Amino acid sequence: MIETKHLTKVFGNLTAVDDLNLFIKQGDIFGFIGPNGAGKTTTMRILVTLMEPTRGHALIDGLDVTRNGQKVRRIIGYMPDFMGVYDDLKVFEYLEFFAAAFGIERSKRKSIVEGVLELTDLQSKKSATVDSLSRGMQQRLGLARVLIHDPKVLILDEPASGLDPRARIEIRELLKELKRMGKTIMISSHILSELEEICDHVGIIEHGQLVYSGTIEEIRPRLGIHTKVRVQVLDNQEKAIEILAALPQISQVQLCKNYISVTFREGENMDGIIARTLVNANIDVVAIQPEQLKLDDAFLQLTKGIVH
Amino acid sequence: MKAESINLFLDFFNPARIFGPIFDKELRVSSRRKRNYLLRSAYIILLAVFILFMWLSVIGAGSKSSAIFQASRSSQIGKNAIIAIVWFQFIASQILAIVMLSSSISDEIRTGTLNVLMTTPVSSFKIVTGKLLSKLLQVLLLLAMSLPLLAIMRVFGGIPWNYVVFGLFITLTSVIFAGSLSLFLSIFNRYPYRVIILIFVGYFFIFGLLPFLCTQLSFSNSEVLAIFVNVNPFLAMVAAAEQKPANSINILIHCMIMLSASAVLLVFSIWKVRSAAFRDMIVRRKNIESKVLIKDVEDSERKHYYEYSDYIRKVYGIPIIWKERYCGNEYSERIIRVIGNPIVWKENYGYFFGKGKIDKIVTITIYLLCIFGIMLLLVLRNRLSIVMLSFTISGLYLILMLRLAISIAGSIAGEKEARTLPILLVTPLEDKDIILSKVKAALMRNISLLALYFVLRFFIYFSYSSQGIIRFSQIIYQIPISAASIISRVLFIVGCGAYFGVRMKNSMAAVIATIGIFLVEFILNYLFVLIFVRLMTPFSVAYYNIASIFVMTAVYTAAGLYLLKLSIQKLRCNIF
Ligand SMILES: Nc1ncnc2c1ncn2[C@@H]1O[C@H](COP(=O)(O)OP(=O)(O)O)[C@@H](O)[C@H]1O
Ligand SMILES: [Mg+2]
Repeated sequence: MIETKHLTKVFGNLTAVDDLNLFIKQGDIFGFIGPNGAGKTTTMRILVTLMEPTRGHALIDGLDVTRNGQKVRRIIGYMPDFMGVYDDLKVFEYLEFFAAAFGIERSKRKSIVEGVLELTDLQSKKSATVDSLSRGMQQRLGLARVLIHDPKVLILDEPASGLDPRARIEIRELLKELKRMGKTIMISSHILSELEEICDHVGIIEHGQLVYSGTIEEIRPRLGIHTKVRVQVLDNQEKAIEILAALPQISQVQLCKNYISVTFREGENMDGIIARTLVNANIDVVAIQPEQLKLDDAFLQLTKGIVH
Repeated sequence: MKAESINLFLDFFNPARIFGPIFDKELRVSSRRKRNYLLRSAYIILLAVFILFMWLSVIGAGSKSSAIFQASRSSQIGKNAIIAIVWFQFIASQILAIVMLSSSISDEIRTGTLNVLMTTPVSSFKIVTGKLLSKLLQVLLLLAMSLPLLAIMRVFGGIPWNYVVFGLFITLTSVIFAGSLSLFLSIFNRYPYRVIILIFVGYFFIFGLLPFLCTQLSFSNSEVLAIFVNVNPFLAMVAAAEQKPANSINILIHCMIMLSASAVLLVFSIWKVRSAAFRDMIVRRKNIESKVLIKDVEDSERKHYYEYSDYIRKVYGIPIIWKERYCGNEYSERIIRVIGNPIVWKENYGYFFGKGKIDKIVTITIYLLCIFGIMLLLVLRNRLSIVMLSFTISGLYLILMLRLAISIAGSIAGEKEARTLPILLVTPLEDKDIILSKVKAALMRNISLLALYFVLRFFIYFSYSSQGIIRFSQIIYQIPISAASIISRVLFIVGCGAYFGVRMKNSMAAVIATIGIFLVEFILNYLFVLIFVRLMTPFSVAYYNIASIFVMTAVYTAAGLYLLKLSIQKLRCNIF
């Protein structure tokens, strides 16, 4: 649905996007992740026809964004990173304005606007002025606006940034709902864990280059995330440590406050073996759990490696 | 030891110490902008070209006339040129001061920096004076730079130097006054354009229409005028040209009055600026959090207040009309459906649907007052002062053009500032539609003023003919010609506004640039007429009058259309 081929954008002597090749399937949610200044916003601006690439192409639904700008605009919904609102308009008026801008007939507008208001749970704010909404609501209003012409593709630039946890969850639920409706969504963030739950695929970008691309499941072992386990035993901690340290698959055993932290060797991921070994040695196991997924740490590891 | 004391001494005069960090910051920022240098150079070059032309026209006349005639002609031209330059500087520097300071405090409030400043030990005094002086300094720099040029004018001979000196004094005090007024209003007004328009309309009434009507109604013009000179910079400038000894005292009094008025405004500003910073915080919180606050506030009185704080609106005007319009049913529930072209609808939303009421009220009042004025004039026909009438009409013209410039340049660049332009540009609206709709909306908002201006212009022709200055038959071709010329100017200013709105990221810069071009246009106009007079000398006055208007109309129309086309082409170029 979305495809970029050797996409490059140069500002003066800075290459903001560097030979980027992306492919996003129809119906996918694609997480576009990278630290600030990585080139996410620039890529998205090119995709939504606001900027022209220096080299390469970008296609949306098979249409070249530079040549078929007008057609592309009808099938995409774009939410910029810093979104302005017309602050003297009311929520309903704001949405109807964009409905009119997308050429929707006047008779159909009311029901369409009511529809997106319901989807984003903003009906009660219908006649509030746009600037009186909280940040979370404004962001939802932004999503409502994006949906007004029922686009196939949504391109959302950091929709959750600056929101409190509750508003983040609301946005996340909304995105899931949109995925169910069959939309292709490209969403950017500088926080990997934020997208973990909703994305099918992620692409990690740094200094304009794609560092990694694939599913979240693939990313974990590659980053060596899943290889730490917390083991809690009832008593006999010293003995447990001794036994575990002797296992060939395990590289490190550490006693922390009230649990034992076990690190597996590269490429190994076998929680089962711990339980079996400990039970065989008559040690009562209270809990074995993978250590909190430190996706963000891993993300840091992954992106730090490449220094310009 | 010695170096230390010198340092101490220098530090004592360090402006940053006296006027605070704001002054320092503003100067640093403005000295970093290339634009400012360009502006200054352009201004000086323009003045120089103007004087050069004056000089050339003196030499040109010399070949076929005697030395005495040439000298007297030269001094006449020199005098006219000086008057033109002094007046131009007088008007232009006031406009610059008003425009530059119109966003001075509101910008700080909007970006939240005023709150931050309030938490530092910087006093309100330093904030206000720092803002005012740093901006005024830039205007004064322009004035100072033109002084050498004025000195060069000595070659013409016959220059009334005390006129120049008085003119500069009056300019200086009016610039300070205009700047203080603009700063004062910017404390209470979120939108700088409102400040600008408010001041221009206020000036138009108080300094233009009021003395005009008073002199028309009174029996001795000169006495009334003498009173007005004291408080009216425009009349003071007129008085300065008369070179009567009595006037010079009046002018000095005038300068003192203007300075004290500025001081009063500044004291008020210093007093109000702190509460403005906090008021805005409350306003911003009001809608978002009032409902949450209710839960915490037990007091039923206050609960009531918070619950309805969204709906509290001040009563203004005739209370019954107010009530009918806003208290009926649920005003706040009123939703206005989009009709027709969405951009035109949006642009005019505030203007035609309730908001921007000040603007609307002002327009209607101007309208009514002018109609009243015309009726009055018809009654007082034989005592009609055409000079005063033209003066008033020039004021109206200025307001009209400024409003147009602000409407268009502000609405396009404003979308960049508010970050709404990218959203608009990913809708299927064509670039052409966007620009032209904005132009259309701006014209719609100003159509009533434009119509009024037309009516007054034609009225002038009729009163000229009734006083025998022009023949009635001349009106018949004068009217369509001047209509075409006004329309071409409107087109030109609209083109400039759209172009600068598209090219600049900041709406203030776009508005200043448009107004700048408009002022330059004044001078160019003058030059143009000079060139034309020289080219057409063999023909009669009436001919070159018509011919020059014709050519200028064509030039303005072409330039306006070309700029519009350029702005459509460049709309997507400078959005981030
Ligand atoms: N209009 C522009 N002109 C010059 N440089 C730009 C422009 N837009 C972005 N950049 C630069 O390109 C790089 C990538 O920016 P961006 O795409 O906004 O990053 P991200 O969205 O990932 O934080 C940054 O270094 C930024 O400074
Ligand atoms: Mg970004």
